[in-house]
Amino acid sequence: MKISDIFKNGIIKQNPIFVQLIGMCSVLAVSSSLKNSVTMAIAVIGVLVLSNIVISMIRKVTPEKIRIPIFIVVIATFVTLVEMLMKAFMQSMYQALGIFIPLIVVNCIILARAEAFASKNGVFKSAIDGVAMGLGYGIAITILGTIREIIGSGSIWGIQLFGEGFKPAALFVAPPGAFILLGILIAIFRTVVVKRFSEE
Amino acid sequence: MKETIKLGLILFLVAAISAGVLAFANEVTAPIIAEIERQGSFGAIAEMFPEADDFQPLEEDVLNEIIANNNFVQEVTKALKGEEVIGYGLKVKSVGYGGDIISLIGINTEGRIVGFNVLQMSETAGLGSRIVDDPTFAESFIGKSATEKLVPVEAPSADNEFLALSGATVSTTAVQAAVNGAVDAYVNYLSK
Repeated sequence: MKISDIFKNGIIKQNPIFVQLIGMCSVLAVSSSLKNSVTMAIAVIGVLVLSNIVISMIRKVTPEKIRIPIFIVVIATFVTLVEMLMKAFMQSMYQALGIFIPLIVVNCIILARAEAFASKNGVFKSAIDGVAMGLGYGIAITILGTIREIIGSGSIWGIQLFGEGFKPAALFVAPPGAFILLGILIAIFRTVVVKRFSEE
Repeated sequence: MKETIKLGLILFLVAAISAGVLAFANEVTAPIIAEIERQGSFGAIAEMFPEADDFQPLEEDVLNEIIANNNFVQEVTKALKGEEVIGYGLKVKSVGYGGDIISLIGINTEGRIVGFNVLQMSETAGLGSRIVDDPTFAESFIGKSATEKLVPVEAPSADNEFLALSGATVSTTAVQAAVNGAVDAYVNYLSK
């Protein structure tokens, strides 16, 4: 598998959100504003790359039968480690991201990549796969966060876009709005983007 | 049977390594985190009482009496100017839409609210989170009387009114309960 294929897979063909529909709970919960979406995307990329590297490193000594619990221990360790280090040394970033970090453990993208890719491929390719899948996740959640924040709060990155007269549709920052919008985005992504790439 | 034991041992080993790494990281970061949190809550009180030169925890017997009779108050810090107490910072906890809301309420010895500051919450972004994001919400408490119960209204003007956030009734009510808990503690214990 070429590196460009890994990227194409992670961002388009196998986009975790729009195509595979995994990791949805964190996406729906966090994407209510652009800032939350971007910080969450960065955290996910970080943990995904680190866990892919370690899981790829231990892939030959991991017994088949208990691989899933081992993967979960590795992922949970990294997430807890990142949380503690951020809390101690990056206070301002922790305050913005704090409650979302534990959500990464239950983000099934990480486990899915461990199972489908890192446990079968070398360290370097697994790291690249982590970046690509993380980017696919990041792009999806950023699009969702941007639209939800504009419609639902009338702002972008916390900056108000419209005058006093604008009444934001609060439905879009609430969970039902996230479901509706995500459905529309998946439909568009699948018909327009994925189709074009699979025809090539 | 033999295989089960072997697999159990491997899993145990992995968990033990993970626990070791985390224990080490915790050892390093725990004191730093505790210090940051202590400074964080002091910093918020210091902003409410800029003229104060020292802060001390309330006497333990008084605090225990307050906690026994008040469901919201968790900690009380005295703001001192020289030897004189000029106000109190009350750390209160109430339950909002997304879990606990911990906030700090400053009340001076003249019976006025001098500050409201949310220390920790996980309310819905864009709705309940306006208790932090919308500065007019915190401002609507300042200068209000700390001798009677406060009520949320759309356009606060009277001495016992603060801003109601439309679309975030649960969060507003949670803050109302917390502030009134602090007012109650002030009226019944601290002002005497």
